[in-house]
Formats: sequence, C-alpha cells, structure tokens
Amino acid sequence: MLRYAAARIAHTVPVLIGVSLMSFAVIHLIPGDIVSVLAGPMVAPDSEAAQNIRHALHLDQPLPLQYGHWLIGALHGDFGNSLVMGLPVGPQIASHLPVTLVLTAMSLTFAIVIGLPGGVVAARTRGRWPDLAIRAVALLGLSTPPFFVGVAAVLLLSIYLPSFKTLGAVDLHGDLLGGLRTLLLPALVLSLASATTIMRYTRAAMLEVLKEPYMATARAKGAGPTRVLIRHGLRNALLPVVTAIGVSAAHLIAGAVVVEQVFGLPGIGQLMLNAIYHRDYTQVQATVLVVTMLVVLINLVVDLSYYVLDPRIQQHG
Amino acid sequence: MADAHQSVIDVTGRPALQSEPTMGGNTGLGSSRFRLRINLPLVIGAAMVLLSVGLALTAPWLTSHDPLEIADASLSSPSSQYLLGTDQLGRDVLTRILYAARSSLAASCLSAVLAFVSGTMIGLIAGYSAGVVDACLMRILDVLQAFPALLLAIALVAVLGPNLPNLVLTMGVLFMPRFARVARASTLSVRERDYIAAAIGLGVSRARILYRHVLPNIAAPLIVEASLTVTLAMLTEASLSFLGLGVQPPDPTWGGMIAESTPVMALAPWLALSPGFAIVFVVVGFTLMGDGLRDALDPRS
Repeated sequence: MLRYAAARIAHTVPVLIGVSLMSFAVIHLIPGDIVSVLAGPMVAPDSEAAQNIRHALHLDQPLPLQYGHWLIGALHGDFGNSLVMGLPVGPQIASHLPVTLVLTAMSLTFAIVIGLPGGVVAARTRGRWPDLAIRAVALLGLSTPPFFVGVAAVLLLSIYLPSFKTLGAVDLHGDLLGGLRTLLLPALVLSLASATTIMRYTRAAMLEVLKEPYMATARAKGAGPTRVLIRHGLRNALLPVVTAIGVSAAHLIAGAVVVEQVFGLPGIGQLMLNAIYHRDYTQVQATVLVVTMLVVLINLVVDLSYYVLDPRIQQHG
Repeated sequence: MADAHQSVIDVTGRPALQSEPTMGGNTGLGSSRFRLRINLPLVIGAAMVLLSVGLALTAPWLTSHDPLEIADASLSSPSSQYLLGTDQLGRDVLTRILYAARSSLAASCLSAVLAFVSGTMIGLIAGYSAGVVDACLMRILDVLQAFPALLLAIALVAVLGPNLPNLVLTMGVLFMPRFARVARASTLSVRERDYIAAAIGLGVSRARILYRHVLPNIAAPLIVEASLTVTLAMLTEASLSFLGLGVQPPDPTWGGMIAESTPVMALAPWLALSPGFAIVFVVVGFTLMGDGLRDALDPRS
C-alpha cells in the first residue's frame, strides 16, 4: 500500500509544480504591457505611478524571482492582493469556496444516484426499450450545456410552480437547511452531464462483467438475481466507474462556475467572473490555482481508492 | 469478420479485402484503408451535421433579414414574417441563430483541427521516440490536463481577449492532449510492427516513416476522437459565449443569445429556447457521428 501510494503521490508533485507554473504564466499572457492594461491609457508606461504599480506587483524583478515570490506566498495562503479592491485574494476565495464545494458534492451525489442504477438497468436490458430509453436520455444529457438546462428549468418552474424559489442568496452558516434547499435545483441541473458519463461507464463495465463465467457460477449456486447483479456484477464493474466519478468531480467544479452564474449563487465561479469583468487578474490567477489544486487532489484520492476497491492492485503494487 | 464483408465500403474505392496493413509506397493519409461499416447513428449524425453546416454556410441566402437589422417590433412572438420572433432590440431570432451557427461551428471545428494536428504530431513524436522525449512530453500533457478544461478556457480567453482567433487557439491547446494521448498509444503499438522495421531497413527517413507508415495506421481512433472533440468544443464555446467570453456582441452567438434572453424569459421564452435547441441539435449530431464512426472503424466490431 505504502509503495503504491508513495509512487502515486510522487507522480502528483511535478503536476502540481507545472500547474503552479501555468497559473503563474496566465497573467503574463496579457497582450501588451500589464501595467498599461491595469492603469489605463492615462498613465504613461515610464511614469512614477507606473513604476509604483510595477514594484507593488514585483514586475520589476526577473521572472524566476517573481515566480518564487508568488509560489512561496501561495504556499502560505497569501495569493497577493486584488488589483481592484487592494484586499488579499486568499480570504475572498475561502469565503466563496464552501458554496461551490457543497454544490459540487450535491451534484456528484445526484450524478451517482442517477447514473449508477441507470447504467446497471441499461446493461441488464441491453437492446430492449429500457436500455434504448436510458441511452436516448443520456445522449440528450451529454449534448445539452448545463446553463441551458438551468435557464430552461428556471423558465418552466416560473410558469408551472411559481412558489418554488429558484434564485437567491445562500447562507450556509446562518441557515444551512435553507441554503441546501436553494442549492437543490442548481445541483440537479449541474449533475445531468456527469450522471450521463457515470451511466455510460457503468453500462459499458457491466456489459463486460455480465459476460464473465463467475456470473454464471453465481447464478448456478443459487444466488438471487439482484444479489448476482449487485454483489458479483457491480462490485467487479466498479473500477472504471470510480474513474468516471473522479473525472466527473473535475468537470463538476468547472461546470459549477457556469451554473452559479445562471442561479446567481455566491460561489467561486461568481468570484472568478466578477474578477474577469473587472480585470482583476491576481484574483483570476489565484482562483484557477486553488480550484485546479483541488481537482488534482481529488484525482489523487480516486487513484488511491483503486487500492481499496481492487485487491489485484494490492498484490502487484 | 465474414458477415461484415457484405456491408463493407472501402472509402478509397478499392476492394476491401486486405486486412493487415502492409508496407506500401502509397500509404499517405488520403488513401488509408479504412473500412467504413455504415450504421444508423453514423447516418443520422452525419445528416444532422451536414444539415447544420449547410444552413450555416447558406445563411445569407436563406433569410431576407440581417442579423443586426433592427425591426419595428421588439419581442414579437413567432409569426410568418419572423419565424422565431424577434428579440429585445427587434432583431430576427432565426437569422441570428443561423449566423451564430457560423461562429460556433467555425470556433469548434477549427479548434478541433488545431488540436488534431498539433496533438497528433506530439503524440507521434512521443510514441515513436519513446524515452526521455516521451516522458517530458507526457508530463507537460499531465499538467495541461490537470486543469478543469472549462476553467482554464475561461481564464485564458479572459486574459487573451475574447474573439474568434483566441477562442480557436485556447480550445485548440486545451483539447490537444486528447489527440496526443491517442496518437502516442497507437504509435507505441504500431512501431513494433514488421513493416516499420522494413522501412527503417530500407533507409526511409524518420519523418517519412511517421507520415507515410505510422500515421495512416493510427488514423482511425484519431478521427473518432476528432468528432467527439468537436462536441466538447461546441459546448465549451457555448458556455464561454454565455458568460460573455465568446465572440463579442453585436455579433450573435447561441450562448450569448440565451444570456441576453434571461431578463425577458417569461415574456419571450422562444428567445432562450430556440438557440438552446440549436446547440443540442448540432451537438447530438456530432455525438452520434462520433459514436457511429467508432463502430464503423473499430476492427473488433
């Protein structure tokens, strides 16, 4: 276990370094002089004001030094100050992150609850109408952008169920239940694409497993059909499904950025988009870095969970 | 395989009898030996894609309105003059949907082509040279793929500036690793084949081996990947333009039309629904085509 985990963690370190390098580079991709973009055309590039901005952002230092400075700060939770508000960006991210994380977690739960049974039923009824119906719905789910599902859902609810609160503030500290209720519809909307992915993986994995001789053995020894399907079938089909769940988690966090915008939720997406509209690039940079680090860590946990799920890795690893 | 031969169509027009790819002089990209087994999803998907592309290309001749032309009546419901009604500014919704198809299809197809070409080259080089080059290239891909695609797309487009060339560039780079991985994996297996050893023995240059002997034999999975990448690019472009980071107004985009329609959604639901259905139609088309191509090109099926 330790060797497998150590190898997997060692693999993550260069990825994390690369991610930090790219996030750092984002701000230097701005066409032209950053200072003139930030300060506007009124400030001459070589004026004292421009020099002050340059110095405050450490832009007068060589790039490797700038990166080192930024990285050491980031490791201590200091992602620099907002270019617009002047306040540190770290606490802003910390205050917006819970809504996004709760939204993502709820969506992932929905996706699993919808996708897993859907995939099992589709595989069990391969080629017959339940399978075809589930696959048709899945095709639509995969082809519809979440923001459109969101807009359509808000539209339909406003016509047919006006009492249902679709938009609104979320206060997870003061009113947890109310907050969760507000997040219910956005989470469901966000989950559709991932439910589809999980469904497709489950169906494919189950179809492979159903062919295995041990399934016939299980039936022959007199196990009930549900027991055969779940204990012998799903258990063995779970590995690729867990991969799909890991991939979905990354998609969901990114998708949350857009869905939050539809429902006006105060999450990390709203923070990032506001920063973009105000050209607050340190905020954008820090948000991308934090969210991507989260995704890398989620994928690490998923990979480590293979070890628990598949005893064969325990023997080889 | 036996029953497959009845429905086999060789896209090169030659008899589809040779099963093992052999070393030959004329194995360039254009004459690769795919055997397309026509299936229903492929036909429906290709028809939907062709219809969308056709409508987008012929948009100026299909409608008598201009996408930016402002009529007298704003928010008029669908009528014989305005088949899908008009928006807040009185612009014809159908015309705008047709013109938006152009930028959406251009952005997604061009970025898929960019990703295809660059990713395939990187994958070929990584897979064929192996060793240190391969390891370095793969680590770079790991980093690119560690980012949630949509998140990085939002940040890059925001920094570079939202316009069509930057959309194509950003999405091209984002989707490049998908092709690089597929190309690398296939190249790793192809390079061990006898016909590659024969080509090396004959003194064929490395570039020529990659282009004439490896590429045609790894093209099938790459083409499937391309079709599916277009769907991802369509959805990404739609999300970006919904957030105001796509092609800028007043030029129409599907995502932008949906975003603009939200304040008046209850008054004019067609404003949000029609561009949404346009997105779904095109994406379903490309998805079906990709699934169909996979079945059609998969030698195991």
